Amino acid sequence: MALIRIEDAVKRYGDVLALNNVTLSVDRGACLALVGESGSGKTTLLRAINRLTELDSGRVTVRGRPVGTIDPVQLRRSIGYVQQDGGLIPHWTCLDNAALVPALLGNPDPAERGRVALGAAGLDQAVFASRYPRELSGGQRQRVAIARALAADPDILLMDEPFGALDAITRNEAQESFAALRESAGVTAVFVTHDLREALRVATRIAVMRAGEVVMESAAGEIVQDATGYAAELLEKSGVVR
Amino acid sequence: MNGRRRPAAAVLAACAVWAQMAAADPAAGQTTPIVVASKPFAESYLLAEAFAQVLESHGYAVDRRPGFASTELVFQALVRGDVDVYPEYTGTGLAAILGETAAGGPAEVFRRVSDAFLSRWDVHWLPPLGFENTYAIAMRRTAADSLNLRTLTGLADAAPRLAGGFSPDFMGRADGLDGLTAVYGIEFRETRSLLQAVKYQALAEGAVDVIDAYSTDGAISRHDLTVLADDRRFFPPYDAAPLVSGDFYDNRPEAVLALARLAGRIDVEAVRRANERIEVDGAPVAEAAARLLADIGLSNVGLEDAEDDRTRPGRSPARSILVALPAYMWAERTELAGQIARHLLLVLVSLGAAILVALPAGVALERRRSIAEAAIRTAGLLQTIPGIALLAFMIPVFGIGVAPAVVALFLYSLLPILRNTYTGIVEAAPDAVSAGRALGMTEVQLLTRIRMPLAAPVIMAGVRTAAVINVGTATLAAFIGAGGLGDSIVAGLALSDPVMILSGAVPAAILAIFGDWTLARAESLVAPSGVRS
Repeated sequence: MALIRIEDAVKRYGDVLALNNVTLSVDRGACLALVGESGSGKTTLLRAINRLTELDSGRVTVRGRPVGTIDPVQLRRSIGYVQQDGGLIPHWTCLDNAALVPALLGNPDPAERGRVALGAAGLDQAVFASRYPRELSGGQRQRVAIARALAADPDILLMDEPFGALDAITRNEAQESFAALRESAGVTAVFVTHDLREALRVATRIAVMRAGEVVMESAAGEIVQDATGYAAELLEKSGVVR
Repeated sequence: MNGRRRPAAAVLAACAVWAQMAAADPAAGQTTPIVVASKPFAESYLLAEAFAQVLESHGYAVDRRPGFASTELVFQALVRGDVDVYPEYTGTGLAAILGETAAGGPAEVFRRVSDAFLSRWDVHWLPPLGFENTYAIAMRRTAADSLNLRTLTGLADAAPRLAGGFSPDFMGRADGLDGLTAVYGIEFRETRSLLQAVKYQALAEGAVDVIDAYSTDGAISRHDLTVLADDRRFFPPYDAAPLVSGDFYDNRPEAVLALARLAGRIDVEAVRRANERIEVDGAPVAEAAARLLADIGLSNVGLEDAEDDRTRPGRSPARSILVALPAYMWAERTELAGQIARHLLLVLVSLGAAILVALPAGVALERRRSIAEAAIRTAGLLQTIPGIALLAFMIPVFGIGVAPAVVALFLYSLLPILRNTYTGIVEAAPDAVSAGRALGMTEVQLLTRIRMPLAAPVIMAGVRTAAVINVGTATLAAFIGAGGLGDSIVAGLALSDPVMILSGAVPAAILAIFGDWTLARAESLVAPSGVRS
């Protein structure tokens, strides 16, 4: 059953058509990678899901409800979000950062939820809870950002180039531990990446975007065989051998 | 009906008579002090103080506002009725205020300014005091002798090899340097703008060769100067007289009469002696004025005050400033405490108002970035207006005193606070703000929990800049009668008294340093711990 459904999404920025009649759905438990070069519309599509971007026309449905009928603040609190640079609040400790969404939701013990989330993200909370973001490495910061996104147990997680700022070795580790964490948490994820190899490593389904359109969508395991045209080009550029 | 009306009319008439009597009764006027002002040079201080002492001897309360920056400022304040009386010279009235050239002798000039001022501004010239103080173009005697110069016509030939140093007032007036150039063709090698306080010094040391002096200056004989004759009668007659506002003239006739008693009583010798007492002997103005009044036989008005003043340490060239300054400041401690309190009032009220306006405005601009640049540039434009000019602009709207000074200082404070608030908010961890928004923080939460705490040190730095600028600029407020530490500085400059200047400048500097230090501490205290360096 589709947890997220996008129908005929259109979004313009001036003369640029960022989304051109995109229709896509994400099943519960799936991990969909939106792959494409910069300017292909993948981030715009991701941000339409939690109303950070409002569509010109078309419709996004989450858990069966059109997002236009849900208060954006409440909608966002129910969906995890990770961005490329982590976006941690610099004058808050890791624990305060991790406990943000439970606190916003009025959870009686947000700190406890934060500690659990830090632990689940592979961070020793005894060490990291009282540290400030600037005292962490890039990989550790990204783990705190993922812990923050999952601390309130959302059923949906959105990520925008989550591993983009990490060096190659850290990135591989982060991708693997994220894939494991996602599976154990049973969260449905949509993430944006320009790296097809990353998509193949982390995602269950892949949608290839170009100039505001989804040019191909298939299961991660089948894309290498199925790809034609632009998607095949992209595979070749990424060094994924056919 | 008639029967009932009559008693009412009688009561009304009685009230009117009583009101008229009350208005004419000097004792009733004591509630509103008479505002006596002056321009920033020794003789103007002296005459204003003499007016004040005469008025006080007649039982009037006086509010002394000496040291207005220029003729324009003090005259504007008089026309508005913010100042009741100040000493002026007929020639200045004719040339600098009316913009006319002299036509005839002293009597014609007095008649001309009297008529014109009354019809244009409802301002009255009281009868002249009895002496003339004309501009005197002066040189070192040795230099004049070696060039064989006696007249301004002669100066025209020598001028291209000479440097002139003139007071700012003289350089900007039709009866000043411009007129001199036009009438005599005098063109100096260079001209410098010099304050009254340093002009004689600069001439004596050879930094300039020619200065504008006043014919009654005590310094002319002290420095052994030659006054060049005005052989083409360029300068109009400059008879000194009290200039009073129409309001004062109409409503305080007894006080006007008291001032009019000075008419023709002060001769040039008496005023020159009094100027010398101030400029050469370093006597306090109050004492010199009291002696002047005693010299001309106007009772012993103010002598009691003068006795007190005599205990003040006068200016003594033999004593080092390091010794004289603390002694002077101790003797004047009550006065100085009042000036510091007034200074702080000016700075804190204007700064507080600027914070109340610029802080929310800076926050609001973050949401309207398209107009932010224009708004900040406008505030920046205000800052480019010179302090004294901004203060002058305020007078037509707010009059003189504290109100225009506070408004001017407020305008000066806007830019640093506005710019720093806007920059601080915009640059406060934009990625944390976007992530916070994506996770469901409201705009208010983003502002109060991320942006404001991160921007606080930057905003505080803006407040700190504004405070330091204000402490300095507030010294200029003395030029428009707002008081503060500038009073001592302006009076000291006018009277060439370095100790008096420092008695205002040193506390002002200490205030600035202390304010800067305090706000620097506050700046580091408001920095959130996670980002504190």
